[in-house]
Amino acid sequence: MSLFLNKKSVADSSPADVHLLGCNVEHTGDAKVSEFFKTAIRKKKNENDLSATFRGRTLCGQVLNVPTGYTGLVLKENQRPFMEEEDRTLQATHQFDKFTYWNLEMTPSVNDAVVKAMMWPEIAEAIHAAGDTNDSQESVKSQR
Amino acid sequence: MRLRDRGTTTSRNEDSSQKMTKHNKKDQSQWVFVAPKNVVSDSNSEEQDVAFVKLKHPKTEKSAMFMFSSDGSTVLELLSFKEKHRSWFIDESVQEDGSLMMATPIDPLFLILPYLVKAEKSGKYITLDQILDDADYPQCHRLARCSGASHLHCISSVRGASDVQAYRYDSDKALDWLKAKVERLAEKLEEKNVHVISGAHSATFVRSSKGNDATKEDYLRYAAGMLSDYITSDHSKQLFSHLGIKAVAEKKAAETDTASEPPSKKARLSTANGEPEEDYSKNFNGNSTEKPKPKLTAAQRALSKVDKTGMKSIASFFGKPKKSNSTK
Amino acid sequence: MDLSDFTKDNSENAILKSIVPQICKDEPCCLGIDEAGRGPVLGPMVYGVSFCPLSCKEKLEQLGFADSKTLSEEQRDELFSKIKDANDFLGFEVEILSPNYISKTMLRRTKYSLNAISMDSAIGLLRLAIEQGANIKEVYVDTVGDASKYQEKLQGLFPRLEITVTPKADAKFPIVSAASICAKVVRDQVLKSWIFFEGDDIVTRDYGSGYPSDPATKHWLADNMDKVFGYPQFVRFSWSTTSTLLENKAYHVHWDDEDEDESAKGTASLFSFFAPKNADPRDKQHSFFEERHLKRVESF
Repeated sequence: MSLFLNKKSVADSSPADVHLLGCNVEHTGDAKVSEFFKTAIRKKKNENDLSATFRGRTLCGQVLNVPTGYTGLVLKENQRPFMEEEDRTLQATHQFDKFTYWNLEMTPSVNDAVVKAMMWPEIAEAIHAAGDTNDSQESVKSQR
Repeated sequence: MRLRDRGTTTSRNEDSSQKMTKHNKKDQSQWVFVAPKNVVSDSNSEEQDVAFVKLKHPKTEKSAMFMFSSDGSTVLELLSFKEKHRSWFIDESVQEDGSLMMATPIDPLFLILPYLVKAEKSGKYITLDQILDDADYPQCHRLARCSGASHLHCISSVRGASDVQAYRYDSDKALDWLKAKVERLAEKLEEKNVHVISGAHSATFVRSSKGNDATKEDYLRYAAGMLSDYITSDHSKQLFSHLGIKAVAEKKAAETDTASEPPSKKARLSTANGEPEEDYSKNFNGNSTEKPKPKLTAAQRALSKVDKTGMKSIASFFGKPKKSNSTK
Repeated sequence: MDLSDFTKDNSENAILKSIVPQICKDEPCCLGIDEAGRGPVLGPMVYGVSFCPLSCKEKLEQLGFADSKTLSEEQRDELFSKIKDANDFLGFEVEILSPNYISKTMLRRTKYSLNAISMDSAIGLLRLAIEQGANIKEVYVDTVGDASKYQEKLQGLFPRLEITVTPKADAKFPIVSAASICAKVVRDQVLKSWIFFEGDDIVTRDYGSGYPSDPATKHWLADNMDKVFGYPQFVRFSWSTTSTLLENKAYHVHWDDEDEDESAKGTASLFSFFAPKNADPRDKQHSFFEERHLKRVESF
């Protein structure tokens, strides 16, 4: 069996407003985010800092961009096949190029794991770019 | 891949922290995902779909998930950002699983390398198709079509005409290839001010400046350690020896027990009050980790220190009190 | 009454205040402090202070104050009008502590009790009166918790004031009654006219007095829960009434500062320093990845 991402669905996916919460909600499904959550969002003095409350607790938030050259997608598997051998297909339902992440009471900082994690694609490129090693070796040698 | 068993397979393969979290719903059917635009964007509707494939991970030698672009020229590694206490709001919905999957291109040579080393035992030059022969991971033949595979000469000696080439693992070349990667990564880590040494815990808070007193060797060691997540431990040892550095900084030797134990870990643990390391939130809350826990009740508690944060003092005014008796 | 400063964003606190009559600057004054809406699970808690010259005590008594709890709503409204009209010798201030503020403050990592919130509000209003130029000499406070401790704390902060903290102060001292009426009238007004910025249709409006024992309030809480968000910010999430309802009926929500005992018991992962000895060292990722909480994906 194989697992695929339907590329056509990516083009058809709608832009989404996406928030990474600072707590775990034991539910997947509809939620009145616009009514209850977005109305609770306030800008702090520092324009980039946001605050909100969820279930009576303070969340501190900031908008994070998806790394340059990357895109955010929400992938959905509408129906998992009954048979293990059958191919599976994921559909992109939403896309986003930024999201807001929220910490419990802590102002977001560059030391937050999620901010550092967003740096991964750039670091990964340094590891995985199949550059011509001879060139890079030369440049390294010349530095020594 | 045994789909029906997925729940149990997952918990067996993954570490116990994941087993404990409730994120790992076997019926999860939605994922938040970040991938290179050029891989997932629909440039040509005739194109094949992007494929997720299980390959043998070069370090763990176990199954891991990778992704191939439509044209098969790029192979991507999948990492999942996952903190325990997270969930997503996506438009007007909530997704319990708060992880963020990231697909980043991986150099296919890392994935080919173990097969190449294995093939070398025959002592013969063989073709890439023959090298990538693994009944357990039949999809590994896809690696041959990756554009990065054209750099196979970086880790092997080559024979034959351009149309039919045969390869044999070349240890010296492979180590040079790894070394070049380590050096490139070390430079990137330095440029990005990634803190790479223990005791730099406080330095994370002044990272904007050059407050990071890591040496060139510290960066190289850290970079080689990261690279070691893509090669066997055997190769990792050879790499460190090739670089002429020890896997653990000598001056820090007293603080670190094993090569695999990252230097920063012990420093953090010593301040962590014996709390489990994975209580992620604790770590990224920096020095405010040991605040007492609040109670979800209205029970009256001892007074804490005076704190008026959050109070809004509005200089509001009832114009003329005599005229403003419209309180009803 | 003009509550617009509060109603434009009722998630935050707001202070309403009268002018300070000139005579209150010229002559030594007494100041009373009382609160309304401490117990309810809905709406704000309101702190009130009122002050007048010591020489005007008789004039104050003539206004006919009594324990606000013994008065009808109409009587209180009438007395509040009288207070506002007596602006030649009587000043007041009211702080509206929003239910959202109460929730998030009490539920904070660093605990902050309702008593502390109350005292801080009282202290803030007293300080404000002094800053505004009122010549405060005597202070009368209805007790919050242990009267002697409260007295000690206030005395420490305001050593030159003559402070009296006592239960039932609003029945004993007209200046406290006046403060009590200000607080109670504002609390009632805010409760009645609450603007649900979550949307008008989000809940019904038959929420009663807001006291957890009020059958109307009980019904309202039972009927108006959202399983994801719980309630609008009108509800105090820090009340056990609320947390019990959410625990039983809403989707569970987990925060990183709960279950600390549980995690200490051994929900630690292999990453833990105390990892099981049989852990496969090959599974261990470099600290770069661990610090970023990046894990290899093994399956979908």
